[in-house]
Formats: sequence, structure tokens, C-alpha cells
Amino acid sequence: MPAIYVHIPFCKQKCVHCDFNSYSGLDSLHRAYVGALVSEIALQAPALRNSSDNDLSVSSVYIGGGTPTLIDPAHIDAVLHAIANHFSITRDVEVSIEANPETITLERMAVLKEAGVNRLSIGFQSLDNRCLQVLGRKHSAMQAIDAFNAARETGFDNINIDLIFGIPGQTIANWASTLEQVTLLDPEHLSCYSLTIEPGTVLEREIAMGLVETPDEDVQADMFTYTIESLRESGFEHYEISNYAKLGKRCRHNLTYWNNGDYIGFGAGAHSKMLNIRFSNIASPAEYIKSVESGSCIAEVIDLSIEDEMSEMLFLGLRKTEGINLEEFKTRFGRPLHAVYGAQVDDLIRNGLVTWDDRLRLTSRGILFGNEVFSRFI
Amino acid sequence: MDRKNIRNFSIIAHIDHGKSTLADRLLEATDTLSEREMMDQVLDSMDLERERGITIKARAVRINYKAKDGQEYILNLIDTPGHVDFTYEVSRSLAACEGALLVVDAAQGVEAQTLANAFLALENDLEIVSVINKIDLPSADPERAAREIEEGLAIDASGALMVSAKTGEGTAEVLEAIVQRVPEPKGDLDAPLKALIFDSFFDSYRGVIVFIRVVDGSIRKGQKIRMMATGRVAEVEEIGVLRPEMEKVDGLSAGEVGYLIAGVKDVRDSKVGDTITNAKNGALEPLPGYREAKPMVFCGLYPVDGGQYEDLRDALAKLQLNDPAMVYEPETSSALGFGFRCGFLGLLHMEIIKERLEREYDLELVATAPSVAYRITKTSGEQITIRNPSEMPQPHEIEKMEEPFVSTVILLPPDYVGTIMDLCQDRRGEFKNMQYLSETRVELQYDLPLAEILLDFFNQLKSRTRGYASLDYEIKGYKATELVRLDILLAGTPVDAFSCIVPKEKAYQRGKELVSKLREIIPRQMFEVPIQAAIGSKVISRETVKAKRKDVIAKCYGGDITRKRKLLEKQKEGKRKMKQVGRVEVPQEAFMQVLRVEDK
Repeated sequence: MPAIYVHIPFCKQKCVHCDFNSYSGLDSLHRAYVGALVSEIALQAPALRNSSDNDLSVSSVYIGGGTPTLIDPAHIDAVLHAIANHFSITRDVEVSIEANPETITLERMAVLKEAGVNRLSIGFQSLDNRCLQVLGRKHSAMQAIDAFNAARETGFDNINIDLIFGIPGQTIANWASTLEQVTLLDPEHLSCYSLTIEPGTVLEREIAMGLVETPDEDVQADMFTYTIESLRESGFEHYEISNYAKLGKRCRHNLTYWNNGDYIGFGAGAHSKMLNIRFSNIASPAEYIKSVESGSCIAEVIDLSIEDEMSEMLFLGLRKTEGINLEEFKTRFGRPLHAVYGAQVDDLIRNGLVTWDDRLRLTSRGILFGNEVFSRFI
Repeated sequence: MDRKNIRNFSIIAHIDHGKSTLADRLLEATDTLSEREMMDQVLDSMDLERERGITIKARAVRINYKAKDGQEYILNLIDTPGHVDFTYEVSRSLAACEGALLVVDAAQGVEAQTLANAFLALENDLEIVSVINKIDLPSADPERAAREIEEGLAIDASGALMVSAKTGEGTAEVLEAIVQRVPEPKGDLDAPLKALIFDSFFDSYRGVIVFIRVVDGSIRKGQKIRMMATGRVAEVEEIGVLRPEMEKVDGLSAGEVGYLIAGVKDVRDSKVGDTITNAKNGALEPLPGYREAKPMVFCGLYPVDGGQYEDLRDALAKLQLNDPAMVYEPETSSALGFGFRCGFLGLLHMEIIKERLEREYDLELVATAPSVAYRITKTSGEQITIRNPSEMPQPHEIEKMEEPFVSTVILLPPDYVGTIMDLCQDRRGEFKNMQYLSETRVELQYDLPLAEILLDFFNQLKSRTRGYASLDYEIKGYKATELVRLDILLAGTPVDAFSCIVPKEKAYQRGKELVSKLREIIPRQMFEVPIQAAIGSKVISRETVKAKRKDVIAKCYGGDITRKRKLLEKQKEGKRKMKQVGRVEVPQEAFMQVLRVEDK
């Protein structure tokens, strides 16, 4: 069962830390872009049906960006219709959409809900106005809380809040306060990301020029540890490095990535993986629209070797706190994991970074040093 | 050709003062090379030389020239290496000549190397023809340059030639001056053969090719010869001249310059400075001035990947075929594993060899900080020489310790004299002399420990004078000093590759500097890493690299996977390039950084 991702690459303004495939000032493209999305879905569906030996019923759809809620919700409705027309959808399908607080209104939410969206992911990032300013966000803390309440009022009962910690100038107390306020809102799911300075971003330049201080590694580590403990106490399960959920509310769509499942991405720069092939679309929205018209929008195809697949199963699977099922590895690759990565695993166990019984998983120390573990399997 | 129509000359100049360009112009003007054949700067034939803009090994070219007097002349241009490490080679090249063009940049004026090489030329009784080059530059001040030549060298520069090697202006006058002012070669045609080896190199097809200047007698193909210093006897298989490509001739006689091939497979059998004579009834006395090239600077070279040890050994053996001045012997370091302690003529020589090993033999190397050879008299009376700090005996076993000193000449603008005197003082220098060459150029003379020159001296000199100072030095001899061994401990374990020998009175300061430098270089690890500096069992400085707290990719969704994999690959590669010392991962540059000092 593949998961479907739809990319909406438009933003009112790009945030300073963002290195996603998103653009501001392309409002005039919205209509043509949605048209291209609908065409791409129709275009790809038959090929995907033929290339997969699995059934093509879809159990999750994720509309991400960019800011998907920036475009007319009727457009989202059209895209979801196209998906329903070309794929079989499971009855309990999870349909998520990303939203920024300033784009959330009761009317919009109602249209989206009507269109079949049943999970909302709101980009709060922080509930401190100074931090929001540092990131170049367009909303205030108040607007974020209002947006959440509006979504609830519309009837959304599965809401994620995105947060970032380790923002330049942010203290632990400040972060703790954001976390406390957010838990009071009682969302079903939280994603808490440690701020990463990505190459080519405005933030990277600002730091290089000395306008903004570099996030302190030690402070970020303290915040991370604090987050894990504090959210556990608030009844959240820490199920992936940066993700926390109430019981039964893990994000099914994102778990597909970490479980090394198949997924199809539609839209500019969207990535797909079917069996051992990974492919991605042309990134520029204008080019993407043109390419769909001409019949193919794929920019890059990568064949995964068995070694690639094995290492991906490990470095993605170990992101989940429940880790990797050893039986599953053996069934999939015909060799026990220990026969392939014995030396690495033994060494990591000695260093207290992983444990294993029937599953291989990160220890609580290993979670802080995930890259030390992942890079051993590359 | 009649000897009175032969002129043997060198060009001496500071780096970048236009020696190679002038040589090119002379070859061009005499049609020795047509313009089309002409690669820029023919005489620098190694890639590395060309990139660095310096000439490492001497070469010779024979130029045919029809002078204004209507006669044909043979001008042998013998090139000289242009760096302080190769002073001995320069002196041998000069010994093969009767005259030298002293090239001085009209804008830069006289530099330390100009002086040092010009003095070598004077010692060899060469006629010096002053050439002031780059007169086309807007900043040219030829009169000042001439004044500096007169002050610095006490030679008359009133007849200095004004040249722009770049535009070719003055080239014709240079050729005429060589004919008119450089004396014809002397020497006894009927005496037993005496030929000076001024260079030799190994060619993998032809064996050793020896460059010679015949001083007395003559040499021909088939003749049996003997190298007087090594005693090696051989038969001349081929003899010729360089135009600049090799051209066979039947023989060479007193005054002439050329090459010979004599079935010698090892350059060590035909050493620069040695005298070639007849195998039978040869000359009794060799030409003066020969000495063994003696390595003065030592460092450990270790493969990053231990599996490359054999490759490194083979590469060193091959390089030595061409460069007998480089020596090596196997050495083991507890931190770095198996490697070699290598000896070089100087810092540049060391850098060139390391770079060639990495570039031409595709090796990845860690070099330890360079060291000098110390002489130690033990309390037992035994005398030893150590080239590696780890060989230093316990303090109570040492009666006396001596280190090599160099006499240095530093030329600089007067504004910087104060700061450079401070630097020399700080480096345990002994002031010798100071002299104004012109209103803009001062000559400073100091005796300094060679170890201090290795300690980032050149960079300090350049940065303190904004690049305006130049330096030349020569080995003076050994002198007793108070020295101790400074050890560095990482996570409690001494790392032999970081040990260094330092003056006692500076041990505390050096220890502190070293520890704080290493704290910056060594990345945070999974655990806390204390860095300590110790003399014997006494810790004199300590700092800590804090443990790493967090290292994990925060976001990884469908579109990120390929990118994040690359990130992890990069991280893994970075780790691979580190040297594992005990549990601690140390970046390679740390081993060289040991002797780099902050400018305070």
C-alpha cells in the first residue's frame, strides 16, 4: 500500500531557516500548478499500477509544502478528488495537510474538512514572538493559538503542532514555556525539531555575517532531553527522533518513510520510492508545469542496490524508538542483520548506543547520537 | 670551438625577480628555441616547480650567439635553484661558471636571497653583471635598486643593465655584456681530466644523467672515468650538450659544459660537487668545495591508511633515486603506527617531498611537526644524535645538549626593524649586525637556533612586515642550550607524535599554547577529552574538549533521504580521515599544527 505525498511549493514568504522546495511570489501559478498536479496524477497512475506487484490501495495522503493552505481550498479538494479517482483509497485513510497559523480560518478549515482532510499539521514553531521573528515567521504566538482553536472548532480531532527548539537566543526556560502552553492545547501529535542550519539558507548567511548567533549545541542537547522527558510526563509517546504522539495518533504517513515503505510524490520536486527505485520530479514549479504538459516530469531516477536498501532500512528504521524488527530484515534480505552488520552492531552495543533483543533499537543515549549510529551502516 | 669564445654563466635572483623570464628571453633572442617551441619558462621543468614559481634543480642550456664583434660564441647558461634549502647546490652551479647575472627587481630592490647568492658568486670569484629587471613597472626605482646593490654587496652597479624581461627590452645588451664582461674559461687542456658535477638526475629509461663542467683536460665517449669522492668507476656511454634538449657530441674539453651518461643507476654514485677524472692516471686533487648534502630538518611521515605503508616505502625509494639529499628510515609511533623518519635539507624541501609523495604516488600522509637533529652528551660520556623527540633520554642522563644554529640575513624596510628584532629576540636570536642598504632597506643579521626557524618563523616574518621582509640563512654549527621535552597527553595517554623539544625557559608558555591550539583543533568526541602538556611527570597545562552532547539529523522524510544519506556519508568520510589515537579521533592537520604559533 503506497502512501501519497502532494507538494504545494508556495509560501507567502520563505522562512530564514527553510531549505525546502518552496517559493514566494508565484501566486499567479497556483491555478496552472493545481491543473498540472491533477494531470500528473492521471498520467502516473496507470504506470504505477503496472510497476507495483503490491495492491495500490492508499492508506495515507499527505499534502505538504510550502504552505498548502495558501492556495484556494477548492484546489485541494480537486487534487484529493483526482487521487480518489485514480487510486483505491482505504476506508480509514489518513489525509493530512500542513497549515501555517495565518492561513487558518473557520471557512477554509470547513472546506478542507469537507474535502476529506482529517489530520492537520500546524506550523507553530514557537510560542515566543521574538523567536518567531528570528525565524521570519508571518504569525504571532496569539495567532497560532487562535488557529488551533479554530481548527478544533471546525471539528479537527487529529492535530499536529510543529515546533522548533534551539532558535538563536532561545533559553531553556523559553522553550519549556512554549512546550507547556502547547501541551495545554492538548494536540494529538507534536513534532519538535532541533533547529538545523541548512546550507544556502538566509539563516546560514546571517550567522556567517555575525548578525545572528549560532545555536549552542549544549543548549540544544538540554532542550532535546527536556522535551523527551516533559512530553512523556504529559502523556505523549516519543516514537521517532523528533515526533511525539498520543496513543494511536502516530502519523501513519510519515511512518511509511521510516518503515522503508513505498510512496508516490506528486508535484514539483516531489520524491517517490517504489520497491528499489527512487525518483524525483523537476523542482521548479514553472518547469514542472511545462514538463507535465509534455508528458514527463521526472528529473532523476536512482536504482537502489541491495546494500543501499539495507542501509536505508537501518538508518530510517532506527529513527523510530521501537527500532527494527530483526525477523523482518532477515525475511526481506535473506540474511540475518548480524551477518551483515555484526561488527558495527557489536561496537555500538559496547558504546551503549543501541540494544537488541528481537529488535534493534537506539538507547536513550543513542537517540542523542543518532548520526554516530546511522553513519556506521552507510 | 676555441675556448676564448665560450662563456659560462648563471643567473642569480630572488624568487619572482624574473630569473626564468629573463632566461626565456635569452633563449628566444638567440633562436635557441623558436617561439613556437617555447613553453613559458623552459628551465623549470617539473610541474611542482612551475606551480610554486621556484626552480628546484639546476639545469643547463647551451646558447649559440653571434656577437656584435662578428664572432660566434657559445654561452652556457647554468640555472640555479632559488631557495635557501639548496644553498649547496647553488654554490656548485656557480662553481661551474665564470660569471653571473645578478637580477634585481627594480621595484622590490635587493632581497636576502639576492645577497646570499651574490655572496656565493663572489666567493667563487665570478664576474658579476648587475641586471635591473622589470623597469617597465610603474613602481620601478632602478636607481634605488642600484644603490642597494652597491651598499649590500660592495660592487659597482654603475654599469647595471636596465632590462624588462617581460617586454624583451635590454635583452640584446645582456647578451653583449655576457660576451664582453664574463671571462673566458681557463683550465689546462693537457692536464688530467677534472670535471665538476653540478647536477644529476635519474631517468627511468637512461639511468643517471650527470651534468658536468669540464675544468681541465677532456672527456670523450668510451672513456673510463672515476668519481673522486665515491670512488665509483664507469665508462662514458654518451656525452652531449643541452640545447636545451640532449644533443650527442664526441667529447667535451676544458671550459665546456654538457651532460654524460655512464651506466650509473644510482644518483648517489654521482654526487653534486664531486669531481670526475680519468679512471687511470687521473687527477690527484679533486676540485675544491665538495661536501655531502646533509639533511637538517626531520619529520615523521605516516600513511593515514596503514595499508599504504609498503607503497610509501617504495615511493620514498623512488624519490631518493633523484634526490639523495632526502634520507629516510623506518620508525614506529604508538600514535601513528608504522612510518618513516625522513630528513630534508630544509622546510621547503620537506614540503616538496611530502607533496610529491601525495600527488605523484597517490598517498595520504600525516606529517609530524618538523624537528632538527640534537646532539646529546650523556652523563655516561656517550654522545648521541637524536632526530625525534621520542629518542631524548631522561633528563638525569643528559650532561649536555646542543642544537644547530643558523646565521640569518633579513632584509626589510626600516619601519619593521623593531618588530623583527622583537621576533628574533623572542626566538632566542643573538644580534650580530645591522646595516642600512638604502633609505628603504635595512639588513639585519642574527644567529638563531634552526629549530626556531622551523617554528613558523617565515610566516611570522612575512605577517609582521606585511610581506616586505626576506630571509636567508646558512647553517653555522652546534651550540649548547637548555632544552626539555614537552609531552602531550590526550585523555591521559601520551601521544608521541605530539612530543617536541623546547627551550627550558619557554616550556611553560609553549605547553600552554600547544594545549589551547589542540583544544581548538580536536573536535568534540563522544566523551570528554582532557589535553595536558607535561614535562616528565609534571603537568604544566591542561584544557578539556567537552564531550559532544548531540549529533542527530532532526528531520528525515521522503524527500530528504538521498540528501541525508550524503550527509552521513560525508560524516563517515570525515571520521575516516581522522587519526585514531587511543580512543580519540585527531584530525591530521593537528600533527603539523603543533609548531604553528599564534601571532601575539
